[in-house]
Amino acid sequence: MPSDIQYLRIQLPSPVKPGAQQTIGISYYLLKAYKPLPASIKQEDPQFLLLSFSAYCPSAYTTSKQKTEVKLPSSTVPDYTKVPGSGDIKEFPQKTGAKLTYGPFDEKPPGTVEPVEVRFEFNKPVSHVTNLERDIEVSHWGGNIAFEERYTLIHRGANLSTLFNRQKWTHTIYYNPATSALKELKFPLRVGSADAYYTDVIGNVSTSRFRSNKREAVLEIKPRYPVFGGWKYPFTIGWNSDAKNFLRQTASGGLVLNVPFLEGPKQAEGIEYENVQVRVILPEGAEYVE
Amino acid sequence: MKTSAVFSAALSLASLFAPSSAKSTTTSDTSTFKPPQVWKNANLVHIISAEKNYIKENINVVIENIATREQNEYYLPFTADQLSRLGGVEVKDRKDAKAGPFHAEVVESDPQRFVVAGIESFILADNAQ
Repeated sequence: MPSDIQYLRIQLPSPVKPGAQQTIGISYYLLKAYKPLPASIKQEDPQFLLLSFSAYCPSAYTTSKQKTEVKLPSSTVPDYTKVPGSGDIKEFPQKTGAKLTYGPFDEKPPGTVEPVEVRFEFNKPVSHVTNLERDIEVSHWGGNIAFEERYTLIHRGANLSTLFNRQKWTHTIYYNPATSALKELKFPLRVGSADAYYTDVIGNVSTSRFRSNKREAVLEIKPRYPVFGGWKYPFTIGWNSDAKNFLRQTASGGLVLNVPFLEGPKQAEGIEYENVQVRVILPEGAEYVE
Repeated sequence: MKTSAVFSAALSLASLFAPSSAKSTTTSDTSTFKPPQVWKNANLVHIISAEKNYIKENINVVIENIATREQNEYYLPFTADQLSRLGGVEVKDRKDAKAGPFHAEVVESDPQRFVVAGIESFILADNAQ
């Protein structure tokens, strides 16, 4: 077993007797999970990502029987590592649509790993927020709650192999092909949000749309430039809301603030955050904060 | 010239001292820690969902106590690199939803931290002179 292995200790709610069994379901997320391969592509080329993992689930214990399933975003999977099969199956994985199945495998001793790689098409942006600062400022004087979010966003996908061609890009506006570039972010906000703004280091960015009515409040922003792999785009958005939407009075004379911890863009391909800092700024003189 | 000399001196000193300080302060060094072999995974299904630009993994496992005493701790290995990118860990009983999420934590100890601390303290000492 490699020496850099560390352990997560899971506390079971009640002790398990010798010989008894327990079913547990462990779920977790991993960020920065892929590497683009090829690492650089042409502007109009599809993007492929490489995923590395172990065909045998890493475990500190002997595993009698196991299988590993990989669910992919598309059925275009040009390369994947094959491992010898068992029983009737000659080799793993078995591919059905966008799913690969390694196993079932027979008994494996603790710490057995079998590194495998899967390369698949992912012609969507690999948006990664390295830093998000979210401020929620409560003003009693204005009866207002101001939200501001400062994003430092980077596209972790394949870089461009040639210089960005604005003419080619403009052509694609008319037939809108799939691209790995990030073109738009959609923020569903709470109903009642108002006065949205969208700026970057240069100043106001005019390519945004804000719809706010009784049923929804959606802020749609387009980055100042399409964000390709390896490119960064730091930007700021903000909006206001009436304090009564988020504050309520208690019987004892206190106030309770109930705000979403994170809002963020809702993207079909998802978005990941590395560092998030949420600050709640209370009015001057606020006391007995719990 | 002088500063580089100071740094190399500090580094060499730190490398001399660091191992001893690491040994004295970490009781459960991760490189030597091995979970007791009290479980057997009777059946394990590992699902890796790569549909989004992050990964969600599910490990559904039936564990069997093969020790002579009752057990309540199960260990899951991660590499240091994975651990730095890990988030949103949730452990549940698949058959009993009422049992609620189980408590999970990383086994604490980071020998490298003490090495870095050693270097810093030496540089501070040099500045003081």
